[in-house]
Amino acid sequence: MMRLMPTQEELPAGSHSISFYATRREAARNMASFLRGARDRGQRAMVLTADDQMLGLYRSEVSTQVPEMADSFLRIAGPHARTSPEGLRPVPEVMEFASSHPEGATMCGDTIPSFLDRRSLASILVYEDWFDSLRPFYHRGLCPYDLTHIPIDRASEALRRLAKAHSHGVLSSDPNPGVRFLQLLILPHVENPPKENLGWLAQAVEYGLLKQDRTEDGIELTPRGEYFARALLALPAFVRRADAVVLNRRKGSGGRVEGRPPPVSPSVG
Amino acid sequence: MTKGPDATAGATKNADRLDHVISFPLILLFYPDSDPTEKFPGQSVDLEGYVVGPDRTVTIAATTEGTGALELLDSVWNAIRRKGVGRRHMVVLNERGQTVSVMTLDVAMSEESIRLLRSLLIVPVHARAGVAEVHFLASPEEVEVLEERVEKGGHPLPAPSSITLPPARETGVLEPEDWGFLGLLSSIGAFDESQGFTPELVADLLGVDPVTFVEHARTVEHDLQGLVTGLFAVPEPGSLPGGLPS
Repeated sequence: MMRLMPTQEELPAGSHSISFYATRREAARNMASFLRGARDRGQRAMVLTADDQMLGLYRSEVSTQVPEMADSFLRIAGPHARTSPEGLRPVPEVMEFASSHPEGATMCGDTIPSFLDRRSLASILVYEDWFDSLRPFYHRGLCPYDLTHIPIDRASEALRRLAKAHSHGVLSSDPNPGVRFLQLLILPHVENPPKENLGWLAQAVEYGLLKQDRTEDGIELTPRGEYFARALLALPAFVRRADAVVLNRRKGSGGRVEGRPPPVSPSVG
Repeated sequence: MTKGPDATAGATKNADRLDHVISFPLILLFYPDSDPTEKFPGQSVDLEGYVVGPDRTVTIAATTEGTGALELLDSVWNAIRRKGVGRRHMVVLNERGQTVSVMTLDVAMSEESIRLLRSLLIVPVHARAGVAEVHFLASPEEVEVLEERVEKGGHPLPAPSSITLPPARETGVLEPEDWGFLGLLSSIGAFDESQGFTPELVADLLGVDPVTFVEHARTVEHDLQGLVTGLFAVPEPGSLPGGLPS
């Protein structure tokens, strides 16, 4: 079972870990913490990213928290795991870096959240299973996942399988209750679930938001739980945008809020 | 589109209510026409959410998926129009690839029936093989009223059958109609950024005044925060319901 750790810094050598986040700022803080762990263990580190904005945030955090690791980043074009006849596999740079440091290295590719969707989810889960099968090793591997981008209708299965495919995990500390709620799905697959979270889990089952999974030893979202999660993640921002609508109307502008039109087709009626 | 004035005031507490399930033959909705879903055996339709308009119209969101989804939902809409209760119809493809039919119905329900709908109906309603499984959160007295209202109406048709399950779970401060509203927004993809929905576009889709819609959304969001407070305020941690893995 996966073991939860309080911070990325404490993720041990030999681990294939998952780290949840809900904002880019949190992702950058997590990365700096992960690299502090590499420094403290005397490991070389490689972080692959394809996102310039994210790279800037990483560098900013690292420069203040762990400047010794400032040269750990490698900008790549596209995903760090790519299609091969065997399924998704890491780009060659990852495997070369690992094999050139048999004593153990710290590695992370952050690109999965940016291409995770309903279509790619299945192959990503298979990839994580494969990567976990490479253990035991002396490395520290980290997989960051943006909880706000996991498709809610697949969240139960995705989080259960992600928990089973990683040796260690770090929960997001984002205050959004939707994030806190989704992380409850991981608890049955964790060897050291926080007691407070178990209380929340029991309450969520009591409220009919989560239910026991019939085929697995886990839990899943009920339809109501799905509505709840989607609403928690989106409704506050939706209402803020809605307030702008009211404001525009009251100003007499009648202003339509700009936005890409949804795929709506009017019909008879 | 305001919350039902009498949905909470003086009503039975949810804790005293039971989960009551009525198996409702769809033919009862369309008689003397045939049930339009009959032509699509094996395909299911889910009523994901609804909202009651100020003029007592009801806007519902029904989803289905797979080949023939659009055809099935169009058949349902055409049957509703033939019944003379269909007022407005839009079709949306949500971010999950489901076809969603948003239909505004002028069903001429009594104020009491509207009150029952708003305070008791649990979404989603799953319909398959000509039968809708309708869940209500209802007290024994309310169950009696419900059963009177869903009788077959003297037609030579199968009557709805019902069962009552153990006490319903406390769901905090959100009323069934709030879940109906959230279910509606969720089903059309309004909560998914990539869908490009703005509050005003949603109001357009539902055929309601944007300001009224926004007020309603704000009320439900406020109630949602109340549920969040209840959910994450647990004094005695670690007491999992029977059988739940820990």
